[in-house]
Amino acid sequence: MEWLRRIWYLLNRRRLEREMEREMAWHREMMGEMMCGRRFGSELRLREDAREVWGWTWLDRLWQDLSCGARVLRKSPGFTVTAVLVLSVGIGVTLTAVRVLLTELRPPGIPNPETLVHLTRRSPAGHDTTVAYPMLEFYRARAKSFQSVMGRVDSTAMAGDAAEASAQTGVSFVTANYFLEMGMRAAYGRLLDPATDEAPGAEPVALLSRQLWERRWGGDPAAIGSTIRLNGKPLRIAGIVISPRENNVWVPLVKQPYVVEGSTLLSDWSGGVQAHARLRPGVSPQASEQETKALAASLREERPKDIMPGEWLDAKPADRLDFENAAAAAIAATLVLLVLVVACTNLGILLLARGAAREREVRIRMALGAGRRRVVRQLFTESLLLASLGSLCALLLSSTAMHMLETRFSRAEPVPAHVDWRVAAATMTIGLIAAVSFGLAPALRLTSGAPRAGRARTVFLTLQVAASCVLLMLSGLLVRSFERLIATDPGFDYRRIAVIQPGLSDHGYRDAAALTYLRNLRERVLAIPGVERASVVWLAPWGNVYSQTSRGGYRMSLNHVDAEFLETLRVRLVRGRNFEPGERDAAIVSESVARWQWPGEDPLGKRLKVGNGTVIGVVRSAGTFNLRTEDTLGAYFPLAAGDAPGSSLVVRVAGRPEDYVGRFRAAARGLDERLQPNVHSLHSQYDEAIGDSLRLAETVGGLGTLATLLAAIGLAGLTGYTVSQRTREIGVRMALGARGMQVVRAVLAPMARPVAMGFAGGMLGAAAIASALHKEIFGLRVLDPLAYGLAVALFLAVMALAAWAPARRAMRVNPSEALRHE
Amino acid sequence: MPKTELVPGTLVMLILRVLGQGPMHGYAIAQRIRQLSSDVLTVEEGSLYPALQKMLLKGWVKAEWGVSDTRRQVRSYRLTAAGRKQLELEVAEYGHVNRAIQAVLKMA
Repeated sequence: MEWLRRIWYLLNRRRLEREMEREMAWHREMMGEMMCGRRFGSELRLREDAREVWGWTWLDRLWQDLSCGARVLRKSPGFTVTAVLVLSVGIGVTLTAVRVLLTELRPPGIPNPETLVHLTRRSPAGHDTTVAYPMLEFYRARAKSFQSVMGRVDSTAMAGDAAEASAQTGVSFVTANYFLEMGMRAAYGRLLDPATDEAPGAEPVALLSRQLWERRWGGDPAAIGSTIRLNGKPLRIAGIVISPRENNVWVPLVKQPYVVEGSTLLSDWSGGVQAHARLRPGVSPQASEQETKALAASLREERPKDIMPGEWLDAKPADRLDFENAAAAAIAATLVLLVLVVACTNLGILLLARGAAREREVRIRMALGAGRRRVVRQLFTESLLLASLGSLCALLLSSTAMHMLETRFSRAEPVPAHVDWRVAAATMTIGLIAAVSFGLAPALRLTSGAPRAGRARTVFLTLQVAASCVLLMLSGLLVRSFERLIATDPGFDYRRIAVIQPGLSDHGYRDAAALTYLRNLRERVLAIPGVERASVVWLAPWGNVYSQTSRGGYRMSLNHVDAEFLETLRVRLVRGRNFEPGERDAAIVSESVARWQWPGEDPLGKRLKVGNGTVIGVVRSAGTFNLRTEDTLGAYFPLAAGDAPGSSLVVRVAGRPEDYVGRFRAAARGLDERLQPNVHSLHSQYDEAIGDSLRLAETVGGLGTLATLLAAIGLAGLTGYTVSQRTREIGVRMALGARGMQVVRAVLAPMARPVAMGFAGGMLGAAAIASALHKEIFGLRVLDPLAYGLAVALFLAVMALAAWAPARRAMRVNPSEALRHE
Repeated sequence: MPKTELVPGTLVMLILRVLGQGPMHGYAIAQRIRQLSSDVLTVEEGSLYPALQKMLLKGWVKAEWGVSDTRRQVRSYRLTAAGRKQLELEVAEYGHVNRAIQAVLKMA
């Protein structure tokens, strides 16, 4: 009740105040009659005291502070604009990162995301990220924890309409409930319907993602009802799906064998479906795991080979951050926060600089009886105002940035950068943190009345230099690693290599049949003019890597290849000999393995523990496994029939591999019409990898540039502040015969220590981040004097430029004028 | 007679007690307290009105505008049921504390 009355008082403040005034006036009159001349005290003060009881004084003060702050900011537009710009950059970068993370975590539109879980198979012994379709069906029927279970298989197919030539397109096979549970809507037509589309003998239908539909069908609604051919199989287009980031065709999972002829996906117990589930209301992920554990145990009795002992379905809430990405996310967050640190320290320095000019005002306020707390509050309100303006601009900025990122990094339909309560909360939080970190210290300093030179400035300056240096140095390191990547020779001739992946296992090929197919394909391909060499390999270069950890603790990458492999890729044999056809129990290792395992000994004839085989040859270390790791420990074993269903053909051609794609496809399909081979060139993969590194270097470099620019602004402000604060002193020095450069040195000298400390801190920070990234990024060296040196030099140059104008002002101080100053 | 400051915290109780005899305006409350205490206790205007505002907010008194004997518009305060309860509470509390203080004073 009391609070209701309080609000009523707030709403009727004007009237109530008038009433009180009247009442007090009468009181005074009465008193005047009775005891002439007794003082009633300041009427205004009395009223204020009485009013304070209402509990709204803080609002009055806030309003006063806000209007005062707004006035102050309006009076110095130059400072305000600079500050808002600096802040909007700092907050904007952070906010963009937060928003990217938010959309990654929870793509907008998913209903009740907290009940959506991602299912993976786990057991004490191991885990599998996919679930076999029969298993999915089993759990769908039995598990009471799940309201619904969704499955998805991503693959590619040749797509085209009846007449048009085919083009490779992404196809996602999904259960019919997938769209509704994932919050996807149909732009036209309909979504999949469990009752009709999953029934036996249902007409095969496909949905198109809007992006694909706009590009290939020109956005024509007439596409609905027409026929699309996937791998030559006709499907009726039932609808257009709004599916951000996805650029593909959607087909009911039960129709996968129809599209991929010979596929055993639906009956195969060895996995392949990405699974999600919707928990029943009130069921926790842990409870569902208990249930699936019990169900898996009962299933294991029937199928001991397919279910791991102690297996359960790990249910991870879909909006939880993946732990494997957590390290990368932490590093990205650090980089982004560094920009915020630079922006905040920068503004702190600017505010301190301004404080010099406002000292008088603050002193007067305090002399007139304003408490320190009150003045700090007022100064801090100004900072809050700046932060709010900055946050608002940052919000706009981050929306633009998100749009740019989307169009740059993903070719699919961009996720609409919309602002929801989470984004609003993030904006406010970041703004508040910024305001506290840049505004509080200067406000406290200004009201302390202590001598001027403060620790706040040193701390701000050191932090700012350190943060910008981390970014600059890191971008230097990344640029250097990029240079190294470009200059690196993978150790084999990748420019003229094409890879043919016939995808035999998808179409039910078994070992011997697959091997025969591959041999025949090789003969056919070799007959094509321009083809020089061809080799059957289990894992094509730069695709999947199979590795084992040896007893010594290092990872070795293994591959199974035929005797043509070394010749085809032009991997040089250093010692020993190549495989002979039909040879078993032999191994060829790279020089690096020989060095690691048998230093100073002859590796030939030694037994290789990992993968089992006697070493018969040593080859030059070549990056045939993974482009990004230098000096891979690699070992090759003879190709066995068991490897054949998943194997590829690697072909060396004269000229550009792209020119052969059509002929290779034809050759592969000439042997089996049903196949949908994937043909690509290695150098396109190489270029893609280089593009990734380049974008990373560019992004960090962009952040570094921003930070340096911000730092320059802060530095110009700080030098200007120092000069204006010490004009008198400079005047005296000049009058006593100091030269211009001496004066400049005197002005800059106090900054030397924090700057040096900042460099040192920056170097440590950059080295720490680089060593964390070192494994992920090819050619990243933690200790690269050139990168550090260049960063320091660049930073010093920018600082010198920024300090130039104020320093000139210092040199031109007129002694007589300066002494009259103040 | 020297003026004596009120014991802190007792002002509200005194006002409530005085109002128990019937509605009264601010000035009259101050006068009444002075009279009843034979000029020992004076209520400063600076503390009277904040106290009255607080009591209004708490709902212990109600204010209404009326006409004074001198035909002037005045605001008079009237005790509410909640106010009466509060008065009992405060009197009891005060008596309690008072007895305790007296006991200490006698013993020492």
